[in-house]
Amino acid sequence: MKCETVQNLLDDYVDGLLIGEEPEMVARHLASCPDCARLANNLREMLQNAKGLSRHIEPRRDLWPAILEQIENEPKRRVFRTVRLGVLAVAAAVLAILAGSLLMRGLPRPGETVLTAVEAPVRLQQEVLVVEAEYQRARRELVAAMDQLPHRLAPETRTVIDQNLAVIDGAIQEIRTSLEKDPENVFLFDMLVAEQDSSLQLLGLEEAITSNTW
Amino acid sequence: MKRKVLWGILLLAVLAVVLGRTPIAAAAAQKSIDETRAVKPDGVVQISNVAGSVRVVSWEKPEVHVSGGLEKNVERVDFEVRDGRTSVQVVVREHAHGNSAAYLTVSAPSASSLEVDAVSASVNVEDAARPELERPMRPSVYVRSVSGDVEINVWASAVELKSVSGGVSFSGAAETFDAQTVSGNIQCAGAHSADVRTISGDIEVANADSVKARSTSGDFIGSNIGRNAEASSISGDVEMGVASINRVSARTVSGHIGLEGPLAPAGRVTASTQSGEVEVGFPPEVSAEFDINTVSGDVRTGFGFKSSGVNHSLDFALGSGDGYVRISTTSGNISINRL
Amino acid sequence: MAAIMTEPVVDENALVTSAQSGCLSSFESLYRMHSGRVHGLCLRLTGNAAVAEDLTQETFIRAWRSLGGFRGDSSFGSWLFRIAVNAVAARYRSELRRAAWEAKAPARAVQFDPTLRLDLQQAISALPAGARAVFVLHDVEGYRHEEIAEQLGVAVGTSKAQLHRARRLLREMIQP
Repeated sequence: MKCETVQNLLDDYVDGLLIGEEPEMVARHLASCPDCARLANNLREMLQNAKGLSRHIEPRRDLWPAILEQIENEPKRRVFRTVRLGVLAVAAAVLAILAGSLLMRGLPRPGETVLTAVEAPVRLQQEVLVVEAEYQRARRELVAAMDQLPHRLAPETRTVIDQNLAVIDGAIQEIRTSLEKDPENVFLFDMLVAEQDSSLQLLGLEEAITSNTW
Repeated sequence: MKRKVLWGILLLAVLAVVLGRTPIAAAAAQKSIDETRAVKPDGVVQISNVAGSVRVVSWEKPEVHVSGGLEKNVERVDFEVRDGRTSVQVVVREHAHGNSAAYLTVSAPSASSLEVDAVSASVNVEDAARPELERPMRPSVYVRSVSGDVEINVWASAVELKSVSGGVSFSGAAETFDAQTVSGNIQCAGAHSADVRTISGDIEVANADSVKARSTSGDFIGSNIGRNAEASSISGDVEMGVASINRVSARTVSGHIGLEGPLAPAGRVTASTQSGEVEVGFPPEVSAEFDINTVSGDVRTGFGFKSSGVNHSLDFALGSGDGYVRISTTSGNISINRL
Repeated sequence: MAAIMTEPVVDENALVTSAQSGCLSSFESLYRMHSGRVHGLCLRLTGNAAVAEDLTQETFIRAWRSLGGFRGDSSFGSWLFRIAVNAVAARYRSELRRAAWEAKAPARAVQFDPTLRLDLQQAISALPAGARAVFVLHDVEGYRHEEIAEQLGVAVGTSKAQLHRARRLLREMIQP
């Protein structure tokens, strides 16, 4: 056997994975080749050291307090709605409406029954009505505010914005139709609010781009 | 002799006319920039351009070099360094219509943060591949464009891409990737965690550990997601392959949902749609409690369970019931396949 | 008359059962018993103390959440270990897959100076992620290729190839 061949087989030889005549052939080569024998010994020594490395290494600090905190803090009541006003600077009046209407309201997570079966659906249906009313009002105010501002974006961009407003309107309609058939569906409600939120953001996008606050 | 001179003059005259109309003459009249500034290697390089293109390449010199051609309505390029912040701003003549493109190539140190602002200019950032074990990561790369396409291949801690109608695409390595578009498609390969939102664009995320993706009408395709995914589309499809499911949720109203992957210990899957079809695939040794509900859809499983009951709900457990899989549709069919 | 005080023998099974019913202080005891090993594994696998601490916390939090699923088929320690390896693998999976188990290393790897003779511990942390993971699991912790392949989500052949590569790189680093 050539040295190169033996060296390629060394790992498997040392791990005891060679089969047939290979182990014997390698052993014979090692007995007569000091270079390869040295390599094999170095490998064995390294693996011996590796096995002897301490496997018990304490962390630099006590991690238990952080673990305890995480354990104790869940399951949290999930806050559904996030208002991504972020970088949009719209008329202050509109902002106030948005902040008031779409603020975090804790609702039970899908699968969690915090309320009784009777209360939960009634509350969700009411919630949908409230949210829809506020969305319509905020949208009207925003459209009115935007109409008074000069349009400074390229017409192609305005077209993209208008087309996507229509996409969102279509999506909101689809969700509303589904909610009629499945009024207790918190997933649908979550999606409805998210799309309303996106629609308001999109309405204000042109102004935000023009004033470089998007 | 005279005739030769006459031919010569005629030739010159023709050449003058021809050359006058060719790009060579135009180029001679076109402006350009070719400047270098010394900078700190770990500062911020901020570039803004209206039209044309911005290409950023990285190097190891503590310098920023800006070069490129400028169309006639580009008034100037302000290139200055102040307190570790380098800014390259293309200034366009006011009320100019057209001919205001700048085609810039910027070489920036590989450890600087980048901020690029474009309107219709396309943006391309390319960090050179480095073979050594250690390489600097840019602290952040932030690109914003209105209609220009954005394509970046970088090593950065945080990447954030925004566009209205341009497509945005990232590859390389990043701890966090955030992207928002209105109609542009979003592609991400190599971020540890991704958070993306588009209205009508499609989303493709590959090789992320965790991803959060939302589209209104576009599709989401997740390939080789590590363990967590939260994806939703109203009418688009949601499809993903996950390496070891920890927390995965997929929601649509009418789009299809497809999911494949082994469940990690205590992994949870939630898939919910109204009229879309749901197809999930698990390896044969999956261990979970299954909670399957549909009003009028069909339920098929490759694990030997059939749906029963008025509302087609199925509750069963496989393996030692470590994980939890909950699927609900209104009219969409459900298939649970053995991989 | 001197009262002979004896230390109560720690019965791990009793602690596990108690923790499964929600007793946090039993779970804390289990944490104290196993944190060194879990952290040691995470540290060797990642080569980064901060990430290792993060992953250790994650492992115990996941363990708490899935305690109900622990049926005692294996020892609590091995069950915990599986969760830890899973956590490490998942965190690095995006990087490992992207690099297709090739030469790239995580961004925070130790700077490799070829003139330096590294000791084994240093050399291990300088390995690329895929090679390091397999080396630690096979040659330090003693797992077999089949188990490693399953945990890391790769083919057995890949695990073997990575091991060969790790050993070769280590030899070069320790005895250049």
